[in-house]
Amino acid sequence: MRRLNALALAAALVWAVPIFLPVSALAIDLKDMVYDPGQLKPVDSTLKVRPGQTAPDFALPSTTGTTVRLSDYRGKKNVVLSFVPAAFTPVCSDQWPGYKLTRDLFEERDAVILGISVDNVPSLYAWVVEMHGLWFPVLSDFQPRGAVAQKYGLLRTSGTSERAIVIIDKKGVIRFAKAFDINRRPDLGVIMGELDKLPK
Amino acid sequence: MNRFAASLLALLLFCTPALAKPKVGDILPDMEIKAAPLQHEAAYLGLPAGSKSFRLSQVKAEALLVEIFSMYCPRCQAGARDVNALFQDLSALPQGQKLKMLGLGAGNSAFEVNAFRKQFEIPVPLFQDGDYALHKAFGNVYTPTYMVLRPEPGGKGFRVLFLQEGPFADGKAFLDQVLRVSGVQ
Repeated sequence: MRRLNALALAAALVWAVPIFLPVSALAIDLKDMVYDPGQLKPVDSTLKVRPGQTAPDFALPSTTGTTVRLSDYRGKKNVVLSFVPAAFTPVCSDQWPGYKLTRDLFEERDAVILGISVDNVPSLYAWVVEMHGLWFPVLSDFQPRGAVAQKYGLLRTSGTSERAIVIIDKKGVIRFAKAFDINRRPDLGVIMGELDKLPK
Repeated sequence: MNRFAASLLALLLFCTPALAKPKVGDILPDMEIKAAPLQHEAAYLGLPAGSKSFRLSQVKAEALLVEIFSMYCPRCQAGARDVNALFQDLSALPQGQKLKMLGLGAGNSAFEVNAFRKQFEIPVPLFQDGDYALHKAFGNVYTPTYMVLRPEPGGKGFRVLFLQEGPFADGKAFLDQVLRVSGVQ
């Protein structure tokens, strides 16, 4: 009898556990086109930066062939660093199209996005094409792999970056930094709320 | 079989509908939408003014056309104006009083749903599903997905009359199809 109960419990857990796991809604465009890594550990790093600090500077190659330096924006724009784990994966592949749609919300707040992942430039280029283009620079943190993510404390043990948002004001000071659950998109309302706190 | 094992078997059977994508003929539960409709949305759906949440069964309609969408979904963005036109065409018909439309933003917060609504000037009532609870109950479908649902007698949920994953190509043809399957006169 105990064995029957144990077998029934094991079967129920295997069958029922998926309904309690968070899932993401996949856009039909991406069906059969992206690699689903499954559910991952929500956060797998320790943040090294905090609000009030000067943001560590960096220079990374972009998909347009130029090198983009963070400090180039000092005195000009608020910067939103959007770290995403990997190209051609479900959550990442619709996060940035959402920012494409809401470009005016960022520009009203005098902010530019720098999209960053550890993928190499050719992969990122193809991904941006697949997303039908983006209005913001997409930067490759590939060589040395994940060095910028590491500098910010956003490199996972798997070698990808976290799904993180870092907001930097026009003086180059970090105003917000968070590694979100990698399995879910950060709420745009949170990002806008933090941008609204910056001095005009 | 003892009671414990029987209870677990019941749990398995209960969980199965939440995992599988629905198909025509399936019965879905009467879901609670934990979002407050805007004033004009409440009026359109026949809900009390000032409602903070509602159940699908409270919508005054013989059938529902539900779109599962996401602000982040490129096809949803590309098709938003077509959905607006669909809503306008349906609302202009007598059947528009009996077949009501609404959208559920899978994984979208209230802010994100509102951004989508404003960007495309969407008249269709839209509601957030930030924790994917509704998306899960609808079977984790792709976005956009369109379903026609008819309430079952006795408040026993909603029968799926139509389901399409992916956008529609021809709005007029899609409206004709939806009206036909809904059975509203």
